[in-house]
Amino acid sequence: MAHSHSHGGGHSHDDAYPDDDWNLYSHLERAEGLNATLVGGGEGVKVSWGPEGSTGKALCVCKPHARRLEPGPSLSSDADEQIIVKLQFNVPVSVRKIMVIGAGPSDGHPSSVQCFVGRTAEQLDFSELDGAAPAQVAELAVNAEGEGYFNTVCREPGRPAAPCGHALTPLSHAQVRAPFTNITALALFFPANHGDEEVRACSTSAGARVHALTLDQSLPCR
Amino acid sequence: MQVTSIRYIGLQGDHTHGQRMAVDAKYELIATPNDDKLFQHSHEHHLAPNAGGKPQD
Repeated sequence: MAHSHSHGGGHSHDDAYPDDDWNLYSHLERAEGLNATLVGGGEGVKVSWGPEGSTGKALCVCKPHARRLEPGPSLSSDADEQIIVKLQFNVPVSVRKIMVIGAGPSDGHPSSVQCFVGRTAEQLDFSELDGAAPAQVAELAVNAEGEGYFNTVCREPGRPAAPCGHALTPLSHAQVRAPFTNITALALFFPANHGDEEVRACSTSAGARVHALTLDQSLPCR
Repeated sequence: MQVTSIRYIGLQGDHTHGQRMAVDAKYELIATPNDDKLFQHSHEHHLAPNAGGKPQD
């Protein structure tokens, strides 16, 4: 029978960062980057904080939280602005929070992420994206200070978000966390960056240009 | 096109030490009473209903 016990509170298994509670990087077996290039590596530069034997160039961004603001190493998209990061864990994990920090100019920071779990995550590549349903989609603000994060799903997959000012029926704890509980595979698809956002000019009735909004900001609150 | 660049992906949560292990499983085919009716030999080789065939009258 398999030996199993959980570690509530998420203490770190990384001896160098024992108090790091953003520590699931230390359970990565593989971190693959599709359409991604490792930047800032080279001789003498550490590019992996995963356990011994772990593989994949995306390990370079799965680093201890204390090192999150270090400019390198980083991952950059190759043929276009899209990146898929596929993570395979060596033990079942329950992901509660995800933080993403872009590198370089803020225009190149990712503006959203689609999260896939389980078998969908294992099989995901760019050709499979059309038929794959993400467990969660999140908009990402520029997070240069490394303080922003999002909680994993707070609603069932496919359940619409509550319109502004309206609360949906509360869900049980099991319902709201289920997709990210006891998983061994997680894939993150970054479809675009902040350089893609359209800047629109809003005019007053008199025709005077008063303000420029990003596309996201201009969405009406329904 | 603006290149997308990422310097950090942080994941917070819990982990277990559960291990996926192979199990030694043995399977045995056991006939059931309905098998005789479903798979009886005749000049027409009907497939069993649960194999996508049309049941015999």
